[in-house]
This record gives sequence, structure tokens and C-alpha cells, in this order.
Amino acid sequence: MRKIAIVTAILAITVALTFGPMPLNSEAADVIKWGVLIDLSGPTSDWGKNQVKGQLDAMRWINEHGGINGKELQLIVIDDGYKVPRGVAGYNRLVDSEKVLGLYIQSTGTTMTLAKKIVSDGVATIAASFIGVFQDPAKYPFSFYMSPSYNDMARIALKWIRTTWQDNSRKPKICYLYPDNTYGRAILETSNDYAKKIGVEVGPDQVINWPTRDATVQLTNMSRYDPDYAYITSTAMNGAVILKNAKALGLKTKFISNIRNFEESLITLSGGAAEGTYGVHPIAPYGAPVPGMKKVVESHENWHPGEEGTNVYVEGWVNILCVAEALKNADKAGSLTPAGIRDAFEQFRNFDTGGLAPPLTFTNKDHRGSMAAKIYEIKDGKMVDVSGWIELPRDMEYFGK
Amino acid sequence: MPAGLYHENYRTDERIFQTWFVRIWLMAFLLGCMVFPVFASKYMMSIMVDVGIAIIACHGLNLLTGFTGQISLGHAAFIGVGAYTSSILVGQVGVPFVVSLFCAGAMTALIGMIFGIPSLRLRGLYLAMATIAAQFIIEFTIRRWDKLTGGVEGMYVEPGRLGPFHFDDRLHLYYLTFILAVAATMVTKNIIRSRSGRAFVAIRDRYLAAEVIGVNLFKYRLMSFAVSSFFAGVAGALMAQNLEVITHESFTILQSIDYLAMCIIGGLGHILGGIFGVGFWFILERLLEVVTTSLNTAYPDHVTWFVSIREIVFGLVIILFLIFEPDGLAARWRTIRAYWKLWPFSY
Repeated sequence: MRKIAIVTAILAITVALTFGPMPLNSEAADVIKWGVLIDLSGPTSDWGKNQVKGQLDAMRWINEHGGINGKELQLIVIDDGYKVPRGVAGYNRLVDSEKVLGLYIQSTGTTMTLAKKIVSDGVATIAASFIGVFQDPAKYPFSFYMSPSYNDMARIALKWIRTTWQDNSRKPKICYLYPDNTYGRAILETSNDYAKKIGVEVGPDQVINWPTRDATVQLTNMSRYDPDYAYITSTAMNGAVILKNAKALGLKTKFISNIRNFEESLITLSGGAAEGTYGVHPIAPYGAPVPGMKKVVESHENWHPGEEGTNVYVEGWVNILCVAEALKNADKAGSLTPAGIRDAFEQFRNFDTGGLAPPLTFTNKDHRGSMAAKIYEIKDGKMVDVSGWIELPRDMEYFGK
Repeated sequence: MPAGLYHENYRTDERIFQTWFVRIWLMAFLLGCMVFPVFASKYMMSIMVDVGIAIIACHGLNLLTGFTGQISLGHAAFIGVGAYTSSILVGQVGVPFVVSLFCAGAMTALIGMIFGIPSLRLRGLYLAMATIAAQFIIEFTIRRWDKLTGGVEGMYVEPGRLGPFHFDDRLHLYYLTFILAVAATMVTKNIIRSRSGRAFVAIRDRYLAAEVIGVNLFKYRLMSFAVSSFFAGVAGALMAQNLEVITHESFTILQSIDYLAMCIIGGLGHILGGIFGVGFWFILERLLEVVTTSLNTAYPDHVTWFVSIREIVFGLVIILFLIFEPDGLAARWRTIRAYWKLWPFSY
């Protein structure tokens, strides 16, 4: 009995080994491969699942509407569980074994670790971690992303605070809440500098535990300074705790969430505490009245009936629509190679995704895709825009920082 | 004419590889590893480098946890110390890479000994807690000492050189890792055969009895921490070469737990345990990855299901292992060998 079990197990493994990789090996000439390295099982998996859903739906829609000039786009999704070693192994597999033309990398740690390898391998990457340094092509020639950087979005929020500030007797006051890691500390230097310049006072930073179970201590500390606004760098799961604690403490401070904190699950997870808080975001919320949204909503309703659409899902669409545009251009130019895709991205001049994201421009000197975002407020559990597009000038002062 | 294994003196009795059969197979295996790069793809090479590094790290952890019985949950942090020490020495001080490799080991051994001091008083779960503290303290130091470590932004690693070899080339790094992994295995085996090794095992099995027969507990526990950390440091220096950029996120407690799991699967307290555990771990991980990604590509609508399957299978395999193979793969290997030795007359 036992022997039979062992033999069956070995057979099963052999069969899996032989047939498992089969679909990947069937290399047709008209399939274009794009890698996706994303967290579907780790601490940011909620976000990753919505993102990958958006990307795969966009892929399906593109393939049903002519593909990449008739060729099929294929996304190869690898889950890295937000672990750097697994991310690096996944990258090696995508680049060396699957020979993808480019890839999407979610986690900041993996992106940082791979930075040097990406340059030497020459593979175009779309990062989900909008760190400012990745926008400088002199340092990171293969890095692109379809959004303003974390820095620029924090500056947009500061600009909005300053322009809507009514009280002339004093300056508005702000505090930053962030986790102690690369992602959390990314905005500090430039935002502090910019705040000083435009006349916003910055209070003591509050470092939030990560993952966040309780932020009462930090919020109590913050309330001594009594800021008018607090800017949260977090993710929805953790940010919801901050908002809940703040509501329990009865703080008057208005909270502004950054892009990774401001998503639909923040509203549900915080159990109403998110009501009346703000967020800065460049991507149109799901269902927003923009021309590009029609296909997104239709696809979602057709392919995922009963599920809720999110702005992360829309972000996934934006990413793949841009990738498809770059691939189409590279294909037309006859250079479907990693280097050709980089050149194709650098041809983007106000590329419009139908209002899903602000128009995108990349040049070989400047990889800042866009400099604009909107401020949204959560009203009755919905994201409602309370400002128009707030755009920063493409000044060199904060470039690549 | 003596039949089978027949020793006439202690020298042959203590030999590691006792028969020609074993020696020939071992030679064949090592030769296979040597010529492996000729056939391997770039991807296979990068995996094998990972495997080699993990083997060195696991030997260290096995020595500490498997042989001396001191649970450590801070092994990844010690690897981090080695990685940063080597990169700082090569990049900022200009020390030759080979020297930095040794320094990384020595520095990590020192740090390991400091965090090993509580082991005199603490045992079992309490010591595990103390090593978790080591994990967090080291991680925090890496994150905040940004003048030295680059802080949260991470640090570029200068490629190491040794004469005509430069270790940003995967091929050269593979051979370096391979040689060091073999060396680490030999060193571990010989430590275990020595007086210190027997002291380690005595401490693990009955520390009180060990003390009564004259084993200096503090000395040998610290020694175990030092040797274990030395291995971690060397593994770290190699890992830095492999990653090319190091950040604190490469050395988290999740990695520490992974190393411990590898040792348990392979077999705590067996030299082969480290090797089998790492091998099994990487094969299972790659296998599940290949299966899930091909399923993902074939059925993109159900991506999230397959990911869950992967996690569940991984967890399930580890649980099943603990139930059916509590002594790890190394013990199973011994049974299989015993079976074939007598085959087909199993009486």
C-alpha cells in the first residue's frame, strides 16, 4: 500500500514536471510575453489581487480587440509573496527562462534590489513603487511608471492644502504618518523642503508600526501639535487602523491618504472612520465619468459579475494599456526587443488612456510620466473629487529625488 | 577474506567515506556539479547559486539548532551582517574580496557571540525569543545607520574580484559558491567528529549531564553561536554578490523562518540534513512555481485560486513531513541506503 502511494506520488511529480511547463514552452511567434511580479499571497496581497485582475482583464480586452498589431499579448504572473529572494528568483525566471520583453514589479524592496540587474539586463520595467529616483533615466534608464512619484503626489497634496487654506492669521500645519521603511521615508526630504517653500508648517513625524495594529500612541503624540492635516503613507489595511484610532480619539485633524492607502477597501475596513477623509490619486476611481471607463466597467461586469470594482483594478488597466501602446509602437518600428520597448515608451507624448490617468509623457531625459493628480474625499462611502487636476511644473529641482 | 565492511584499526573506522562505492559516487556527483554550467541555462545557474548559499547558511543553522539544540530565529539577520560587512569592506574600504569574505565571517561570528551570551541562561523558547530580538535589533541597525549601510535605500555591492575571476559573472560566482559549500560541508562534518562536536551533542541531549562530565556549557554554546554565525557571514557575503544590491528587506524574519524550515525538513542534527533540506525546498518551490504560472497563463481568470493552491500545497507538504518524516529527509536517506545494502536479501 505504502509503496503504491510512493510510486504514485513520484509518477504525479514526473507528470507535473513534464506537462506543467508545457503551455509556456509552446512558443508561437505571434505571442508577446510580458512578466508580472506581484504579491498575491503576502502582506499586500489584497492590493495585488485587484491589480492583477485589472491587468489580466486589460490583456483579455486588448487580445479581443486586435491584440498587439494582431499578435497575442500574454502576461506571465509570478507571485513573490512580498519576499525579496522570491522576487529575485521570479525575476530570473521571467527574464532568463521565459524571455519576457519587459515586466511589472510591485514591491519596493525587490525593485531596489534588482535595480542594478535591470540596467545590466536592459529590461523595461514598470514599477508599482513610485519612488522618485526611478524617474531619472541617467540612473535607471529602463524604469517607467504611469503615475506621478510618491514625492510629487505629496507635493500635490501640500499645494492643495495651501491653495484651499482660508485662515490668513496663520499657516496650515501638517504631520506625516509613515512606516519606517523605504516606501514610508521616500517622501520626507522633498516634501519638507517644498512645505517650507510654499508656507506649510510641518510638525513632528509619526512613525507607524508596520503592519499596524494600533496607532493610538502616535496619534496622541501628534494631537499635542494639533495639525490641521495629516498625510498618511501606508496601505489600506494598515491605514484603516490609523483612521479608526483617530476617530476613537476624536481628532479634528483632516487625514489625507497617499495613493496606496486610498482605495475602496480603506472605506470598508475602517468601518465608517474613513468618511470625510481625503486622498490624493492620479487614477480615476472605478465608474468615474471619463470616456476610457466604459470598456473597463463593461469588462468587469461581464467577467466578474457580483464583484466590486476598485481604483486599483483601474490602475491595472492603465498599466497594461500603456504597455500595449508601447509594444504596438515597438512592433511597428520593427524592434520588439527590451531596448526597443524602452525607446517606444520614450516616444510617449501626452498619451491619453481616455481619462483613466492624466496624459503621459516620457522622454529619454525625463521619465516622469505625469505630474498631475486629483484630491478626492470620501463621502457616503464613495470617492468624490473635490479638486480639478492639480499639476506641478516639470521643474528640475525635485527631479530624481 | 573479510566480507563487507571490516576495520582493522581506528583510522579506517573513523573515515568519513568508508567504501570505494561511496567515494566513486561522491566523485561523480562533484564532477557533475563541476560540469553543470556547461549544460545549464542562465536561470538554472542563478538557482544553483541560491542553493549553494542556502546550503552554507543551513549548515551553520544546523550546527547551532540541530547539533547544539539552540533554536535561532535570527539567522537571516546574521546573514545580513555578513552581507553588509563584506560589501562595506570591498566598496568603501577597498579590501580585496577574499579577505572581506573572511572578515564577514569573523564579524558575524563576533556579533553572533554577543547575541549568544543569553544562551547561558536561556533555553528553548526563551532563547528563541532572544534570537528574535537579535533579528530585530540588527534589522533596525541596518535601516537606521544610513551613513554606513545606505539605510532604507539599500546599498550597491561592488563586484568582488580574485585574480582573473570577477564574481558579477554568474559562472565565476557559481564555482566560488560551489567550492565554499563543499568546504562548509567538510568543516561541519569534521567539527562534529571532534571533541567540540561531541560537546555540542552532549549539551543538546542533556545539558546537565554534559556539565557534570566536564563540558563547559558557556564556552561550547558560545562556540556554537560563533561557528554558526561565521557560516552565516560567509553565506551573506556571497548573497551580497549574488543580489548586487542589498537592502534590509532581504534579511527579514521570514527568511530566518525559511532557513529553520529547510533544516527541519532536511533533518536537524544530520550533516546531510542541510543539503537535503535546501534541495527539497528549492525543488518544491520551483515546481510549484512552474505549475502555478503555467496554470495562470492557461486560465488567467483564476489566478488567485492557483496562488492559494501553491501556498496550501507548500504548507501541506511541510505538515506531512513533520508527521511522517519527523527526523527529516536525512533519516529517510539512511533507511533507503540500508534497504539497498541488503537488497534483494533483506534478512
